[in-house]
Amino acid sequence: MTLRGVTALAIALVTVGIAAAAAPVIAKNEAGSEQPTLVTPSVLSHRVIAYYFHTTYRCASCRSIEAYSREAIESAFADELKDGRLVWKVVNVEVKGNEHFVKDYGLYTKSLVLVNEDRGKRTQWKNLEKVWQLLQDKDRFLRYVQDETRPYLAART
Amino acid sequence: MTEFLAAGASALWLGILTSISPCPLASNIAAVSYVGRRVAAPHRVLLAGLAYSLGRAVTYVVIAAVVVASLLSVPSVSFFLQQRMNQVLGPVLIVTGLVMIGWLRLPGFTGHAAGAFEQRLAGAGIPGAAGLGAIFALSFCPVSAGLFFGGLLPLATGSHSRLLLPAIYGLGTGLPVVALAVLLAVGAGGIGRAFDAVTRFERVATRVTGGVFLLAGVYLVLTHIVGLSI
Repeated sequence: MTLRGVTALAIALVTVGIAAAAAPVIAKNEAGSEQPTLVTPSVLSHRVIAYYFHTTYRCASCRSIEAYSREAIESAFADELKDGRLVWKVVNVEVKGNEHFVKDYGLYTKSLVLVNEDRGKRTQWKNLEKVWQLLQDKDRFLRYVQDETRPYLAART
Repeated sequence: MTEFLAAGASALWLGILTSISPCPLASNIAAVSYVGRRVAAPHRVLLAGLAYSLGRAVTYVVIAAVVVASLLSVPSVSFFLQQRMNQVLGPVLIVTGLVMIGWLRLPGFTGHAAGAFEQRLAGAGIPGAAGLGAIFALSFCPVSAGLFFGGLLPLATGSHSRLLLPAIYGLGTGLPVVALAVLLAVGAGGIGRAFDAVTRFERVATRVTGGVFLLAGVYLVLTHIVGLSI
């Protein structure tokens, strides 16, 4: 490719960039097919939902947080996952219909949130904010998620 | 006093954690090459590095002040900075890179004016580094959002140090960049002096910096605008 070609390509990218940056912020429907996340109502009097919230743009650290969180939950709470007392949900907050989660839980980045439900009603929730600080130490990360989940599972409201 | 020192150390560590994560890699590489390109004078690299870190610190102090004063909500500020600033930064880096390499002349600048402007852009030392730090700090990624809004701000509010701790955090985010830039400059300067070609090394370094800006800009456009997963 010639020098002019490279420059023209770069200018084209800049133009696309400016156009995209100037566009209003709207919720995207990823690949045009992703549906909003629905959590089936529970017949149980009490259950815990562990949400991993992400956006369409997925960074390496975000994928690690999702993988570690899932591992922490699946390795320690297999029985609870099986009988529905604990539910693991991955949600893209940029998909149309999911935007309310940002407001519901005051989200500001990819997050792991524990929610306590009593007969289908949310009674308590917690954003596990330390996941970002513990990302470099997998053992502490897993312990942190499990230690936070246990009291939620034991809670009776 | 001990509590404040502990909070300061935590803020610094949160800043370093932000900087060494893979997410801001593209802007960090661009910053290292910009700050470290004065291979003939390592002390200038150190000064540029400090200016870069101060620029970052100013941005974080301003954002903290805006959020703490509840002028804007944390989610709206955070998502805006993560989405929009990376989209803006890509094109800005591409244009700056093209100008630094000399492949693009900015409209409105012709002849001597263009030459002088481009030379200023390529050669801008301390103020340029501070500006770069301020702009790069604005382009939040998920890690910086998680550590700044979820780690630093609660720490700053709890310690009643809503401006100093964000400033320390900002300096922390610049530290790894400064250290790497100084090491590279000392190494490259040593090689340049061995071959008696430091001035030529600096000219090459400026063009390399332009190339790095161009690549980092293309990367940001592809990941944050086109939506490719690289």
